[in-house]
Amino acid sequence: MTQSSRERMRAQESARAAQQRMRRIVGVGAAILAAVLVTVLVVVAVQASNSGGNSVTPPNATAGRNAIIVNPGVAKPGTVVVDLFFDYQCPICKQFESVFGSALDALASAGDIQLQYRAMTFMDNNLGNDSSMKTAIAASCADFEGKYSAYHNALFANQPTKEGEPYSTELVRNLLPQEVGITGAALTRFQTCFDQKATKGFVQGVDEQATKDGVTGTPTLHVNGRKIELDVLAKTNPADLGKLIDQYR
Amino acid sequence: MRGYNEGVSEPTPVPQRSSGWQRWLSLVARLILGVTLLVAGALKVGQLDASVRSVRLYQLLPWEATALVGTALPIIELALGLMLITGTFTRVSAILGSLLMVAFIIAIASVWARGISIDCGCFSPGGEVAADQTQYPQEIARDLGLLLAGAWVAWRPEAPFAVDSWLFGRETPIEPTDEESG
Repeated sequence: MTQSSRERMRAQESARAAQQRMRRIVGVGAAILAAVLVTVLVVVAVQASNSGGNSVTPPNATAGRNAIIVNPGVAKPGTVVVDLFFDYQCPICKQFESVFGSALDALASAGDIQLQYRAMTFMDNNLGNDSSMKTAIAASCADFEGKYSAYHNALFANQPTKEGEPYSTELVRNLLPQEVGITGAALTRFQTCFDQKATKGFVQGVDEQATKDGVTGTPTLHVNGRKIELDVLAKTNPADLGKLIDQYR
Repeated sequence: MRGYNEGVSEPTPVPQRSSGWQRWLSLVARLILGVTLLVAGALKVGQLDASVRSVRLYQLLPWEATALVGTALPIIELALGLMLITGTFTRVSAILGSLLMVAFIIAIASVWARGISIDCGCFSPGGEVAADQTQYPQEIARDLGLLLAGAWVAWRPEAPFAVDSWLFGRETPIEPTDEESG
């Protein structure tokens, strides 16, 4: 074999080797990239289909599906809209409810305000359970039986004493509905709604809308979209709540 | 030797020779960044809804983008973590990991500057915290350290125990031997 043919063979050999190496690098790189891309796309698609695809909307939801109206058809025309943002797991929300709940209810039933409840679910993240979602779904299911406000109050009245302790399914599904007078066929309907998480999409939408509206903490009270700061509320006598709300008109 | 490779383009730059201690430092830096990313991704990937919400708490991205970012981030962290730990495309993954850290540092600095009180949501879905409970300096310091590790690996990717040494290894290099030439 001559020197030059040996060199030529070596050159071919090394070109082939370089080509193989190139193919390997591109192959592995493309495989990793494809795996990550496909995973992300599949997960995003699954997430999208999970959220509120076939969710039912409670009868007293607002047209924008961002709240449930506590006093439907009662508010005087042109009156203020009061939005209360809360999380059923939030201890300060329970406190707010016990101080201002009946005052709000009174204003609502008198028609002086249109009272809208907007349940948020972010405390599930903080506390690592699913009680915010669970209770919000249950409350919206109670709206189908005309017991939204009563059920809402019963939830806060029975909030677990220790923050982070979940609401028991027994309480939410069986005891509280009966306490507020959901019985018989209505109870079965309520429990079906709860078991199937029929309103989950609606509840997620309410929470998303609230976050979109800039609410990141609870309780938050909005009057026609304007926030009343908590420290202002803290200095307010519940009997004067109506006057305070008037100032935000 | 040079002559044999002529006309064969090198697809990837051969990393500059690292000295012994540099290789080991690279391994350590690779593992620090890799394990951190892996753990951060793994802790969030099971609760993607919460991860999306964490991203929203930063109030940085348009609403529509948060869903994609919140979902993709844990998956990308997992992938980059695995690549760094195994030393696969080390330089590329170190650069991407470092860019992630830069993004995190900007995001945390921005919520700090805007007076938003949140947990960074780095290793678990974050949430609002009381204003005196925020840990922005610590979180930024940690990410700076990780950025440093990433930058080092990007500069000196060569390290022991790397898939790269197989991936980028040359196929049966032909060395002219004395026998043949003699």
